[in-house]
Amino acid sequence: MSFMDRFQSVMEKILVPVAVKLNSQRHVVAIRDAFILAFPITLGGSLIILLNFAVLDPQGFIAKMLFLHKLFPNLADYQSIFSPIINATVNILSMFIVFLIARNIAIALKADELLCGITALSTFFIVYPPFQTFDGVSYMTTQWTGAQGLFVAIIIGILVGEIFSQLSKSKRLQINMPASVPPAISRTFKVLFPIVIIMIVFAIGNAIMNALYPKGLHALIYNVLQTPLKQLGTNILSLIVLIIVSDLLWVFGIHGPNTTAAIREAMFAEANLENLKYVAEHGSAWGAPYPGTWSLVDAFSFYGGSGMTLGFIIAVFIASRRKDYRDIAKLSIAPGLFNINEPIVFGIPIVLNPILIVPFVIVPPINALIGYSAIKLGLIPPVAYSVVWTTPGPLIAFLGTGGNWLALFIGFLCLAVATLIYLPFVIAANKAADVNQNKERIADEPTQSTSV
Amino acid sequence: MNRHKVQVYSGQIKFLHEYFEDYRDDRVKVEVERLDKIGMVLAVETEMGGEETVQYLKSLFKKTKYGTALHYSFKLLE
Repeated sequence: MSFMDRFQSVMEKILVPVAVKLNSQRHVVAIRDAFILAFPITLGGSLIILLNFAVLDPQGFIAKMLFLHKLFPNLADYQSIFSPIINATVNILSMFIVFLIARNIAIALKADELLCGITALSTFFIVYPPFQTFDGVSYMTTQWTGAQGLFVAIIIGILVGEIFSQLSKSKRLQINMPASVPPAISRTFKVLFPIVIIMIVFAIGNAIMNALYPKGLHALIYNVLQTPLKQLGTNILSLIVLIIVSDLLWVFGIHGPNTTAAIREAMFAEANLENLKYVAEHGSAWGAPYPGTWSLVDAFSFYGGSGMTLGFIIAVFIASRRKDYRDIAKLSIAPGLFNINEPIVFGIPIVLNPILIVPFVIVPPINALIGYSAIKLGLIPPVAYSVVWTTPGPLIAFLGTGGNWLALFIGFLCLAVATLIYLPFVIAANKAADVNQNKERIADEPTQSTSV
Repeated sequence: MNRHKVQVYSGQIKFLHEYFEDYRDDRVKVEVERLDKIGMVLAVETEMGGEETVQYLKSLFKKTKYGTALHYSFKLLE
């Protein structure tokens, strides 16, 4: 048994069960899927903010390119039309998340998902800081409805999802209406007691919490849990570790991004939203507070997909003499441009290939470091805008920084670095493939002569 | 009755092989025609068209506990 076979066997015994557990554990799945479902809202918000500053700001890169500021002298006035979108997306993300997590858990436990989600949203506001009244008008702070309230949203979503689902299954707590009653009414009465119990329990819990810690649950969770985790997540070393783990899982046939999604969201969601909020308020990504988020990875490290396989494809065209490699590379260019790499990962294959695993795992962290260094040196702004991951490579860096041309150049530089790192491994993989082919030919020869 | 060949790839092909080996339901009858280190070819008897069969097989495996944990691809060969 070769070293690779032994290593694979270990991965199979240890990592597959862990990955299966992480991908089937209902709370982890509920968190992961909640962020996936909320993604169009944050992405939509991000795109509109980007357009608002790229097109409608006289200093925006599209406005400058198309001379819009000269064609429309009052161009900036139109920005106010789209400004409310940040309040309807990023600034209320916690409300979407609390609803979606409770709903996902209710689906997993076969309870009424819609009413469970609504109950969780209602509970989120039971533990919310009390409204303040000024001049007879009540005001609610929006401090915890966005990024800063995410952890309370996650906790409330999980708790309400579980409690609601369990209580609603209890026959003694169900009010069953006659068959003549419309279905919508009998549906709501069936879970009325569980909803009331949840509200009472959380209201009492909230009162006790406020007595012990007057700043409230949101402030407590934010200081004790969310801030340390955010600091851990936005540390470049954590980012590098997460990239390596994700890529390593990938080459052993485990879905790295899926497996690490819940951890990644918990670590980076707030920082990403804070960056987006910053650009919405300042009109520029320069000075955005968090340079090291997962957006940095998409912007500089995953061109062509995990392992930055666009660099591998280019390296094959430069250095490979094998027709099969070049044919697969040709077929993989189109999907690779949109960061889909199944054809090359399984076609060459890179999966379980002891030679190509090395660059596949080391290229992304190196490029993340290049991008991070450029930001820290003040050459480019942080990647603050969300850009959909299927956007062609260096364009993510360009759009994510709000149209910074140097970021685009650094993106191409990262692609060149990836190609250079892949080159010697492509040559080595070619030689290994030739040797294997010769061995197979020699092994076949006696059989052929015998049959003749 | 249609007969399709579907190429399946995964670094953890063992788990897909175990699932699809002699798999039968009221829509498909599957046989593993060839198996190697990271891939297998499935011969599928079904009333469905080629692409529909691929989507169906993929959705079957996606519902298992390995469905979202493993990385795999399905491709219609013929």
